[in-house]
Amino acid sequence: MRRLLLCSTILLSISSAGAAELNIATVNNPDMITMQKLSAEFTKTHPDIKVNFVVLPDQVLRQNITQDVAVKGGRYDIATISPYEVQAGWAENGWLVPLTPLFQALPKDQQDAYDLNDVLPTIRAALTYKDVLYALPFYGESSFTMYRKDLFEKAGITMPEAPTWDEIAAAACKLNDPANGVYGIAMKGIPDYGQLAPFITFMHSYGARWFDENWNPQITSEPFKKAFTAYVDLVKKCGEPGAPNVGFNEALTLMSQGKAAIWVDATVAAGMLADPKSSKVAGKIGYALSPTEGSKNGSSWLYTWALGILSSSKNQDAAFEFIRWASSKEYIDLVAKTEGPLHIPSGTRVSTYERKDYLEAAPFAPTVLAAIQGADLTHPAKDPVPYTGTAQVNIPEYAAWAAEFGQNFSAVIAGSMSIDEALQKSQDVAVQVMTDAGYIK
Amino acid sequence: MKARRRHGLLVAIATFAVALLLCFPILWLFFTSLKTESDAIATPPTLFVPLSFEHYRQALSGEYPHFLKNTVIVTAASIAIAFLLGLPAAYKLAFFPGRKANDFLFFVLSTRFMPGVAVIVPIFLLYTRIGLIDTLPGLVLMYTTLNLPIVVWLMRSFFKDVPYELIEASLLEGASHSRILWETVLPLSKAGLATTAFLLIILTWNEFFFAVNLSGHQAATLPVFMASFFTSEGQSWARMSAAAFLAVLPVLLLGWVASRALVKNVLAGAVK
Amino acid sequence: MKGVARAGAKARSRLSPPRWATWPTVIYLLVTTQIPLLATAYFSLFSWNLLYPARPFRFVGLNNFQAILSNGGFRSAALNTVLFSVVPAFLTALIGLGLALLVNRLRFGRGLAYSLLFAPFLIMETVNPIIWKNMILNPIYGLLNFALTSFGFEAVDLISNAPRAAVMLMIVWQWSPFMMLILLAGLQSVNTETLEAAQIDGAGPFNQFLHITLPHLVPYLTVGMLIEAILILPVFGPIYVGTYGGPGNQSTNLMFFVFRVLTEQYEIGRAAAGGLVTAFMTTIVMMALLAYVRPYMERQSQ
Repeated sequence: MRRLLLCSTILLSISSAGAAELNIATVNNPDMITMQKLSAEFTKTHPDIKVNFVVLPDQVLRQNITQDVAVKGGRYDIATISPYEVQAGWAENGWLVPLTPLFQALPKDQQDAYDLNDVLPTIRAALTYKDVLYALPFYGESSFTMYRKDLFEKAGITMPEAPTWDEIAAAACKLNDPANGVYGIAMKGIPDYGQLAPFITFMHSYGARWFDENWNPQITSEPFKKAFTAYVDLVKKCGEPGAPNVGFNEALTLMSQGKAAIWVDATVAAGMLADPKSSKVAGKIGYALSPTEGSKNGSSWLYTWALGILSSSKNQDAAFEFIRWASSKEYIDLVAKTEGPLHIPSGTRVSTYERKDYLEAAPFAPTVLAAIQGADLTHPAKDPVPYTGTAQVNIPEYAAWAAEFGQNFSAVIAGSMSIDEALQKSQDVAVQVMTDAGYIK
Repeated sequence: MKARRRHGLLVAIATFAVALLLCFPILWLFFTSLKTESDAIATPPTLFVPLSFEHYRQALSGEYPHFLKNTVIVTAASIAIAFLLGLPAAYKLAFFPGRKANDFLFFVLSTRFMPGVAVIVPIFLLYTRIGLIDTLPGLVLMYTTLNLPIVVWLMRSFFKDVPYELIEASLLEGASHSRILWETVLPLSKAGLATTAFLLIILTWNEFFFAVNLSGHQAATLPVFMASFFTSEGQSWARMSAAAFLAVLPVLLLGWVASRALVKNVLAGAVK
Repeated sequence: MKGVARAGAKARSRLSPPRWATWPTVIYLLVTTQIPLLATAYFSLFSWNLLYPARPFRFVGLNNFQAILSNGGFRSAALNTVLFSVVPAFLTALIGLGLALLVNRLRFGRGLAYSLLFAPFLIMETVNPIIWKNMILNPIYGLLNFALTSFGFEAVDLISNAPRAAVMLMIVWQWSPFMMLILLAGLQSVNTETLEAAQIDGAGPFNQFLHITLPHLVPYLTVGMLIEAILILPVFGPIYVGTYGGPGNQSTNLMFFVFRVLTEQYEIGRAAAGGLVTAFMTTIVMMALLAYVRPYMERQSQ
């Protein structure tokens, strides 16, 4: 009888600690591709956990996971999310498993090995909602200025470490040389609201804001109009033609093919531009902080791709194992060993920026670190605002009016709409949405 | 004789010129997939650069076989079932329409009036309740629904080219309808059958929206595999081109092989 | 006497139509389409936002419909939907006819020509626009402008300035093979004896085409264009990847419109209402269209 009990207890404990299959829904980001490759290493040390990756484009991914979580489809255990998901509803709705208690339940040596405090503070804050952490970052970025050192030298201009938009505009127009196929500055103009971040930081850096303290939209306000006009003028005068076609990939192509002198966008581009395998201008790029024009707040954005555990998952323990592994110091060592230091995921840990091999391979690293540390998404504007978020506004209603704004913004750049009309239309939609949602009484 | 040969040559030149023009983007896609990433995005576009099948090797070493298997199963099954259900209906509508024929045809067509976006959440819910999410039978169910109306409409048109006298004669001899369909009508509609099947293969093979919403990892198809190469941050034109090409290669080959069934030589006097 | 009469009666009863032949189709479609349709109709009367699971699922009657219909972009989306369906249907029919005739007359390399010609239809509609956007339509280094400027014309930027044209161009390129396929199959069934007889009578190839081939193809053209129009109605790829519905919502169609309601606001009830409105409008247009083209779907005379 006792032997039977012992047997069954052993069997039960084996089966409960046993095989798990993790389905990870994620984006096609270079660091994620590396992670997919290296997940074989994870399986080596955790032979009873099988890891499947479902890779989708950003917007499809968001729609897919939202639908799945809200309706309990149960297809995924881990999801790649950004600060927006954490801040704008997923944590509130209980869709993500709180990680803080899970960490506290770990034995002390494992907690120390992981070293939560090593994760960059601004990134950690971006993934924390009401003092609880909800996701672990595997990639982090801010935005900054990238420019062609050689072109600047030839024209006799220097780029200050912390430029203003006036200085950038002046340099861009001086270097704008369409006859020789070089445009002053690469700027986005596509209607996709998911790519609005450069304009948003432009706007905030001019001291404008989306809403006042009472959630009244400020799109038709003077500062906003000034910023909007400045952006449109710059792209039309000294930017590339066909800007309504241009999103991140197109701008990257322009820059990496040597067709643009300046580009203010995600820090991740630095790595791509420095890779001679895919860039004609590797080694010619200089870096500076994102330009300001009256407001340091909100002049650069903070963004991270992080792994969160969906509360509908049936394998939460295994999932926690995986996301810890994928964001750990050991993982970073592994990447450095197998892929080379240039491919170490950027923007997640302080210790990354203390590694000699990384600093050697990535000369832009210190500027990136400064940008990330200086980007506080809880203070996105010069004046007090009721919202957080520097690359987007962290409310669920964001997409509803931002999408309209993106369309009108693109139309102005295409020349089919006047600035006043675009601003007024966007303002009307924003007022409508915010009133319907109950923000404005 | 000489005039005819010259005429034939002109036709050939014209056809291949147009063909090249029409599929030039795809040839370029294939060409891009052989380049390195840096050459792939080079502007102006490069011509004489080192080429390799590296991207194909990478794409194939992933889970391509898994997605290919799923796609083949789902495509074959949904089309087979659609034919099974739809051919009798097409037969009846072609030769014995009756008064309700137009209503029936309209109903069948109307099942495709509703955009997938509007109906996806209710379907997702239903599938979740029945446990069909991320399963191959679930996708087959969906695609059969999409393919059936096309089978009915197209095969009805093709059947109508079979002379009614043949049907009547067989009936008077005492044949049953299923025998007539199987032994008389279908053999005479080979081109139509092949064309419909081929069209449906292409449409089902490339379907993305329902595939991505109703499948996860288990039942995902090639279009979902394709989508995994899209990124809004970062360049992977070459890899993406390779994946795109791999996704359509099977159907391309199928079309080439099957083109004999699809394009008979009318002028040589092929007789029914 | 009696034997013959009995045989005649048996034969006549066999002329009765296959009564159950359409039932499998009907039953299958009823189950698989009407249930989701009812569910959609149900949801369209309620307010349900996926992002706010805490909010009660409440009945709002026709509010969703009102919101959809009064939306500023709705009319333009509806017009675009018709435009994107009708114009390509005609253009692809024209091009498809030309291609089918060419391939039909080809004496050698037919398989290769066929493969090359239907290739555009094979490319996923989300990959097709990437090729077009970057290789052909790009205002800086695209092939279109390369060709235009080489001949002395000015460069154009279709996606910024004529987004609808850009979308339709992509649709026509992708779907011309569809019409070619159908018309080729139709050409196979042209009565060769009639053609030979006409040739003997002295009719040249052009007359043969006009009086025998073309009339024979009319039902195929009609059905083909009808089906194609229905299949193109939910066109998504060229808009989502190509122009993102803009600039300024200019190239949005109803499908993309509802897609944005779903994926930006996650308003399920509203998306359902949008879908129902789309389906309703499509039904009306189709009924009118069918009434007009129905005679052309039948063979006029042998």
